[in-house]
Amino acid sequence: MSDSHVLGHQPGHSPQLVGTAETDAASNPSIFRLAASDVNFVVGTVLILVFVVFAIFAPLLAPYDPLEVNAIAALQSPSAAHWLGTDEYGRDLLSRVIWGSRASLAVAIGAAVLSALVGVPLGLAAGYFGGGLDVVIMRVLDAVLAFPLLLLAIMIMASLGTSTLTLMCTIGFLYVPYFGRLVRGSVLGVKNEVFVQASIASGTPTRRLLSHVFLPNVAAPILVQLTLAMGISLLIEAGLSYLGLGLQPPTPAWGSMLRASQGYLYVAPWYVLAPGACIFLAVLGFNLLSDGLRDVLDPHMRQ
Amino acid sequence: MTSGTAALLSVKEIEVTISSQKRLMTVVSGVSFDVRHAETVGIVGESGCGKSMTALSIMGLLPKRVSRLTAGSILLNDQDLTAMSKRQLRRIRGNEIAMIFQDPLTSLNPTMKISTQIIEALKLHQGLTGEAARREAVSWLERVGVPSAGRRADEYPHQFSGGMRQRVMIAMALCCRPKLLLADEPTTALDVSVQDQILRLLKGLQTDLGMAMVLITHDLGVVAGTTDRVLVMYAGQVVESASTEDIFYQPGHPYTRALLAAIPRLDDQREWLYSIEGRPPEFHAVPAGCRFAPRCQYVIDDCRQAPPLEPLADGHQVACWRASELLESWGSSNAA
Amino acid sequence: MLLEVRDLTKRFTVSNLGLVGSGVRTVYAVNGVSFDLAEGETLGLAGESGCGKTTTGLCVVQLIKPDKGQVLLDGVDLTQLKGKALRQQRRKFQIVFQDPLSSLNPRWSVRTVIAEPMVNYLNLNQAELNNRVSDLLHSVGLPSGYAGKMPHQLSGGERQRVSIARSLALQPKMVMCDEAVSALDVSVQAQILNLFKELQQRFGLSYLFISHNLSVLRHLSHRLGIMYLGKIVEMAETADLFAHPLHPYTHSLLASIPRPDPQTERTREPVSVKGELSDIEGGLPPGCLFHPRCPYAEALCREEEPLLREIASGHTVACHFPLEAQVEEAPATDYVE
Repeated sequence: MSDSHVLGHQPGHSPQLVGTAETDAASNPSIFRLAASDVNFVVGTVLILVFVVFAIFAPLLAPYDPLEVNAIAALQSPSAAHWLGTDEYGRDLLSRVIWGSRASLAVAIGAAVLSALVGVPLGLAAGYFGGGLDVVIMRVLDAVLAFPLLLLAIMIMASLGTSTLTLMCTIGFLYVPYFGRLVRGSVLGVKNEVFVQASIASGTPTRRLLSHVFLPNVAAPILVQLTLAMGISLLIEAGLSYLGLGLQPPTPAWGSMLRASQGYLYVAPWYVLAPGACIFLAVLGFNLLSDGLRDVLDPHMRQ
Repeated sequence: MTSGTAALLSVKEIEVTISSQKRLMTVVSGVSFDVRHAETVGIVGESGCGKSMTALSIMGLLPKRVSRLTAGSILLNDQDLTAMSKRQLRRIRGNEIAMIFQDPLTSLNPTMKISTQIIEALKLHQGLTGEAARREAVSWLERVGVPSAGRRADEYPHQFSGGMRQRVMIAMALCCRPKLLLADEPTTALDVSVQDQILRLLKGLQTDLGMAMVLITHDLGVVAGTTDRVLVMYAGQVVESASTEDIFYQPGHPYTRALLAAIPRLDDQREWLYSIEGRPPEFHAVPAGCRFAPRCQYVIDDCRQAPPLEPLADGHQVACWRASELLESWGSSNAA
Repeated sequence: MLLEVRDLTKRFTVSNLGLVGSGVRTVYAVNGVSFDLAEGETLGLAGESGCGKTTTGLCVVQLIKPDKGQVLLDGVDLTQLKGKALRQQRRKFQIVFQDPLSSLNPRWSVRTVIAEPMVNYLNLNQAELNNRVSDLLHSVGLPSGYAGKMPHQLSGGERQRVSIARSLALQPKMVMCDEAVSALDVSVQAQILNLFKELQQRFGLSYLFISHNLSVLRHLSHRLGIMYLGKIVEMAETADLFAHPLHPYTHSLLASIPRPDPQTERTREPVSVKGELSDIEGGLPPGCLFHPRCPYAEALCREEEPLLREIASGHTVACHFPLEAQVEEAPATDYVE
């Protein structure tokens, strides 16, 4: 007793689906608009940009040569001639912090990127292949985590000398496990998803699976971690410089400037402000950027 | 079988609104129905039609921050549940109205023994304690068909299979002898043989206890075997309300008709199933007028105005302008 | 014969982390399953949860590596292949999964999803890929404008159509459908079932259709196998199986299905089958796996495991006392008009 004649369905007729799923602009804002409306993201980006500009255009922006010694003008308080004052050698503090941002940012960004370049593939391999490889990689990463930073820094500086590159590598090396674990965790979470099985069934080879399926899924947390790592690297670099293990004077570096300023705290209290504020603002900038990225890239927010 | 003429539960024009992604959406609108004592009413519809929300609003279990009952009243024995305080509701919930859900795993506390959970309900609503409570709990487990009830009462939910857990949930729900049981897709997650057992159990207990039941499901087979009356919901509204016989043999609404024709049946020889084109409206873009009109074969200009739920025959209401005209042309044939 | 599956076996070790003691036991998810699938045919595999039908399907398509057995596709044994060789064969068989949402990569557009198989095997430029994606979208009843949409913007039925379009991209010979309509609403299910049929007629596809829903299988499959605890207990042409179920389990299964017909439902009686499938705690029962629950079990059933025997043309059953043999017990069925 077929009802088809009443309900008018023609056999063999594939129902034409009328597209009703229109993109509702109000509920799916583009990622850029979302980013622009997030306070953390905007403030963080601005702060970082300031220092990036300092770093790139230092020769143009710095009013004085940061290395130029002027004994007469030593330890002057901020004035029209020297906006942030001068240090114990009469060098202009503003110029020194502007030039200092080169070293600090270079190390901060470089260390973070290096550690991501090493940590991410390790995490992908450990998570995807599992088994013995996973165990070996994770134990190695655990060992790195257990490394005391200072000891390592001293060892490396003593043997290889202090340069931007060695600093980058040292700090980067110590941060690798964080990326490794992050990526491994994400891979493990995604590995059993049906769409991964579907990709395998579609004939996708393993390397493409890793680069096109797993990596994009973890790209957001990696970015967030990257900016966080930059902030932490900067802090570590400043700390190492402060302890004398980082970039050596007369190279302008925020950390070593901070150390120098300590001796003159009662005599020239403004001296500490310059490098201190820079470190504070730069790290704040990275942290805010990281928070902002997390807010913007979190898929729940996107939908 | 219905008994008594006064309604046990009377739902009048309820409206449920949820807020999602900064938007307010009305997911249940203008729903009214009665449930008489010892009657079984089925609410049937596809996902998103609002049937679960209707049940949750009766129990007062709408997820708090995101949904609210924004209009209408729910009368249980002539008492308005919507006007009650939390304390009053707590006395009613579990005691006079009980609810069982689709997934017993998430409704049972995984860290407590089964016996403890049942005894908790007995203590709260019936004031039983100690040995008496335990005896009652075990006897209920036996009644719902849990073998070795005395021993198994001290086990934990994860030690039971899906069907057994559902039986336990039924025991918990019925141990306080509620007048009304709301069952939201109670057998959807179960194998078909277990489903059969559970449904027969529910019917048996219902007769023993003289209890009314509202059974929410998308499965028309379950509806055919278990209910006395059926409500068909679409896009948050009731489009048809009739006795189970009428719904299956004399469906008045084009949607009901289409639904019946879309199910593959064990006994049919059709090559193609009837498929309704398109999909239900999004709740933030509900069309004015009849909500089924965009997908309806019989749409006319009048459908731009929303048809009210009107009596088609005795005890049979349909929300369609062309209901009586269409029913005549269809004849009273089996909808297959 | 397009597909020949022989003695497929897959074991899982399950550790019992109970509150009282623990132990490890072996579960035979697939326990010596064999069947054939011809070109242009739909073979249904039915059973309740835990019967091993999904695992069987996944073993056939090599997403799970079976422990034993052969899967011959056009004569090539897939179980012996790895890496590139296996990938070469994957073109011939594709999969449509149960959950429309999780089977699509949430970060990929519809176009990327459907194009993926073609990117893997064919050397097409972007324009050609786009054209093919459009064609595939049309074949499944979606407008080509959908290519740029993201999965979360689509309804369940639309997503499943995208999955189906993807599965057709390489013009496979066989599609394994794992509960492909189980997560869909009734009206959408009807659309997709019609689509499956139409595509089969148009492209000569074979389907291995796994489902717990016998009504769906009745509608779609040419032949149907019933599985219980990892084994096939009965296999026949669909109409024959429904009209003359020979295995007590099949009969009880059919008897438990509620019919959307109140008058029939009033008179439907359950077939007395004791207990539940998952009551098997301490390992498999000896002899016939179904005997502890079977209303017709005899001594022989406890001692000796019945093998699949052909009772009637094309109708095999693994039972010492198949139902038709018991004249008085021949079940009255309402499964055929």
